[in-house]
Amino acid sequence: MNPRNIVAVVFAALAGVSLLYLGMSSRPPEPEKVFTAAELPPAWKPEVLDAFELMPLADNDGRVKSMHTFAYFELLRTRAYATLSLKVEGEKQKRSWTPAAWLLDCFFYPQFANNYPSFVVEDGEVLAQLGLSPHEKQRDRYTFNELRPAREAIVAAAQRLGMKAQDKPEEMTRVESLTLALARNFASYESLTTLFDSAREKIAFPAEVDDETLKQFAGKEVPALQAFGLVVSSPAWKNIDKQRTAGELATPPEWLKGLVMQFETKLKPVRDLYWYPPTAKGMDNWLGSTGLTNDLAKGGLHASGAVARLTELSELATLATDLKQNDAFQDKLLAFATARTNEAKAVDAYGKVAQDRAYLKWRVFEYVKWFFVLLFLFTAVSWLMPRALRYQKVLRGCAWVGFAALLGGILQRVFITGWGPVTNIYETIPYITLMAGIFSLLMSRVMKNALPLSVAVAIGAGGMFLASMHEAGKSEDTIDALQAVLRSNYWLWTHVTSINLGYATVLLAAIFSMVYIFARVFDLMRKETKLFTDLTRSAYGILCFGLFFGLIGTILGGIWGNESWGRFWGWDPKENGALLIVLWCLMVLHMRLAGWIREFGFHIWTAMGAIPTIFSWWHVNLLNVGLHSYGFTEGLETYLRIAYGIVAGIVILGIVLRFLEGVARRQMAAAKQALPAGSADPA
Amino acid sequence: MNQPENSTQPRTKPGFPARLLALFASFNIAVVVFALMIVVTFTGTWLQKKYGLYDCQVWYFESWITPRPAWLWGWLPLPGMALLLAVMFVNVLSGGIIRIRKSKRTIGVVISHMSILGFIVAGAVSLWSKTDGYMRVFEGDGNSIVESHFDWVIEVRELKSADGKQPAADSVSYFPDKLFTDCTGDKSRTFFKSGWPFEIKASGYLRNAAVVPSGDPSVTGDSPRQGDYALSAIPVNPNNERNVAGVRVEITDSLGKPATAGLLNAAVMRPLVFDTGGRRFSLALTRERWQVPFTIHLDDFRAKYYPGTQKAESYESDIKVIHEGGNESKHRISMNNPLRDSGYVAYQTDYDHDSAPGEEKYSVFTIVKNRSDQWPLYSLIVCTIGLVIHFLVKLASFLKRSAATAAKASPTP
Repeated sequence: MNPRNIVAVVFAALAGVSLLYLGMSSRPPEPEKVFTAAELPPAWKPEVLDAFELMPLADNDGRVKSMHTFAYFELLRTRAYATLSLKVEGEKQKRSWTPAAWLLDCFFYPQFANNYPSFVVEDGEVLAQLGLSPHEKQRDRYTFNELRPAREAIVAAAQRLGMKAQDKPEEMTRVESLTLALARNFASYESLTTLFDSAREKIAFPAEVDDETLKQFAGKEVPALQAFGLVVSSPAWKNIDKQRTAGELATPPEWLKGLVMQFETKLKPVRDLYWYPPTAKGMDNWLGSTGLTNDLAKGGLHASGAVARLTELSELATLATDLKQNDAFQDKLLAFATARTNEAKAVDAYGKVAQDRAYLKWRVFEYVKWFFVLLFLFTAVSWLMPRALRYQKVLRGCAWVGFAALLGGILQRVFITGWGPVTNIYETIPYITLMAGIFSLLMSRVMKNALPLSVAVAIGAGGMFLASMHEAGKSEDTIDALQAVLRSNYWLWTHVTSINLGYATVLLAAIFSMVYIFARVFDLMRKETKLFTDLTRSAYGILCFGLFFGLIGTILGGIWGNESWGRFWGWDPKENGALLIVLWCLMVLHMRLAGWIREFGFHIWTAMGAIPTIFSWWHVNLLNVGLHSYGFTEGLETYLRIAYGIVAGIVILGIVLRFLEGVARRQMAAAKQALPAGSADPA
Repeated sequence: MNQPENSTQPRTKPGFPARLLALFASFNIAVVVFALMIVVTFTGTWLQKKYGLYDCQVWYFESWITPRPAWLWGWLPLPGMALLLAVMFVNVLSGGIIRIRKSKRTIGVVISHMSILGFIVAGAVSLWSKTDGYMRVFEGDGNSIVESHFDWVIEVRELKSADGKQPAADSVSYFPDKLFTDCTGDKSRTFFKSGWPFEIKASGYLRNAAVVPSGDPSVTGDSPRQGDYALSAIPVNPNNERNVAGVRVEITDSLGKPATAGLLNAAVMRPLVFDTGGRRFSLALTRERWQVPFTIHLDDFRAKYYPGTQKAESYESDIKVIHEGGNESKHRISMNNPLRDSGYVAYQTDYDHDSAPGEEKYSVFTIVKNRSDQWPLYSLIVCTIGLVIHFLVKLASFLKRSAATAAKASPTP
């Protein structure tokens, strides 16, 4: 069999298996339930969704982002997929909900939203332990109403397991981790559907009201938020407040006491979304409705417009309950969202919210991923046609386009954040993918076959899968509000880019060496000597680059540490990890100089270099020690073990083969010596 | 096989110095050192999860041979990073600089090897002579005292005596913790200051301890005791800044008679006071403190938080540095922007987290004195130059070679 065919088959099989696996695992199938029109709320007008998505929100991670971004990660975390699609009776195509549409349904139509299959449950065992009967499929989607009967058990689990996860994270079982995740999603979802409760639920004014401004409401029912605004700004309340601040004993009249008691039960939001922009330029006092009520009661900076705002919220929520007035409601919501955007713009607090939405709408990384998967298949085919050079050239051009698009996605983030391309662990993935891919493509200059292209495309696809798995796994905003120490573009553009370039190149060298080992296993050397010299030259060259960037990056990191923390080197895990890579490269290069290793040995050691690189890139973040706490991650151990296992397996394969080849060579030499002198060597 | 590439066949038998140099210069040593460094770095990193950064640093990275409790691989002691770096220094100097074949092709390599020496020397100077600690300054106030993060001292202070005699000018003395940190178990040590009429005998040192009544269940037979009280050991916190040391002291007067004894614990604010030879002294265990030759006066501290959070976006201090001569200069210190002045570097490290945003009362600076402060930067510049030269040399030869192959491959018309 032609060695090229073997490579093609291996590549195609790899691609097929990984696609199959990802296709099966990333998206649980949608429930088959068909919704009737009566079970669904009115659809949102596009312009309403647009305005709402563009509305700014100061999220609790400290970042001002678009409502779309917030909704996206809420839905992604709860549902493991950032779109909701349902079968509707009489409609051929499934109706789908964008994150914003889903979030708005949660806000204003909880009675409908509670029947959407919004929750992913990874294992039916989780539900069984909570006292619910799980669906037939192990991994499936559930509605809030299905989970609600176990509410008490869920809340208790959240508390108990939350404490355990903090105190003894290593003792958490899989089911416990999944239960905790579900319980947190449950609480988060519930906080969204009850967010407008105080604007929706009414309190009753007593029949006797002794106040000029409030007289008109006597005996009527008014939404709690609005009522609070009215009461707090009424002369009767202000009078009592004045007496209190003067230190006098103030006894509120009975009717007022009754109202205050109602406020205490009705105004209890579990969550506050900060969408009211600061009151002036340069301020950062973003607020939500609870903040508004506080500011109003205490005479804070937001107090002046607070009554109107509380009334507006109350009217919105009340109007939403009357489906006949849906048009009017949606118009009012449009005005509400637009007003917030304009207010934020007026005080220069809107920032890059529009671009923030665009980033998640365009999904550049997602398209790049599938583009590379496609290219991967075409490249596998190209191995069957070694002489179709033009075809390879086109593929190489496509790969460059793919990496250019990836660069575009990275630059889009740079534009939004205003910081260097890598500021958190997520951003290392597209960056390292890009750099390793580009270096691999550049090796086409050294190696005149489809191998560098195939490696580049595999890196592109694999890297972007890793990125989307990381995004979905954490389901948190992938753009961070940066810690004070990281807010330095000088260091982000020098140290962080070079150290990650070091990771990328050392990993790439390891990949080329693994290819070498595989090629050796399939005994391609007899027919393809050129391939082997090329692989060695490439891996060696890339490893030298790895040393260069790793060394410079590590030392730059030390100098940054000396500028921010007062020490050049602190033996902190992240620093040590980078040092390990540098030492590894130095060791391998000097082993070669010392004559300890030649070609095969060099590749075995270079392939092994993937282990310290993975350790430094991912594993040190799990140790939770040191000053680099902005990178701490958890729950990756299993994946890391698999990765180490694969690398170790390939390396052991190489060692065994190297040993067998040595034995065979010695036997041949011995046999040759044993032959009588003068007999001709057939070769 | 296994011969260094640059060991050429000797024409005449080399002398002893040359042979010694060849031994030090060996590539084999380089490889072994790198391999051991990898093992030590990995071990010292992995164990941080269990023992914390501080201990692992002392055991693995600042030691010549790793001490016993730190042996991960059973009985096998590992060379400490200090030893490995010393060997590397000799190896790089003899092999990578002196003995290496000098030509246009190796100049980049020689230059980058020189920079490695720079890094090692910078590290050694910093290990043996760097002082660092923190200084807390309240707004509108000044400070010139730096406090250590980790090191303890026994502070002895002469007080006004019982009959009202004022003490002499230099009435305070500090005994550094290296005098008593090894006085654990049965070990004890006696120290004194000339001119003071007593000796201090320290014993029963504990890294993390609390003074409790001797009937407390945490007290064991080994716990140092004094009267109705005992020092009870608390498990050592991996975060070394959190450990509160304790030690037992016995005072004997100039005649050798026991004067007093007591338990010193950094958490106890009241010092041990005793009279001897008609004079009165106080004894306390505190963090080591030292005076710097300038005062930092905090004019204003500002922190900016991300909206709706306690997460600081940036924080900075406007300070006045007042030198001993009286001349003042104004500066602004923030994260990543330290102040370098008269051999010291002041970093913005921390601030008052307990007050409401906008009402922070104090700022915390790390004050470092390190002669090799900027040496890594200079070494890095040298290193980069060396590596870039080497890259260009290699690139040139690669291009030449591929041009030659291309010329050979293409038939002449």
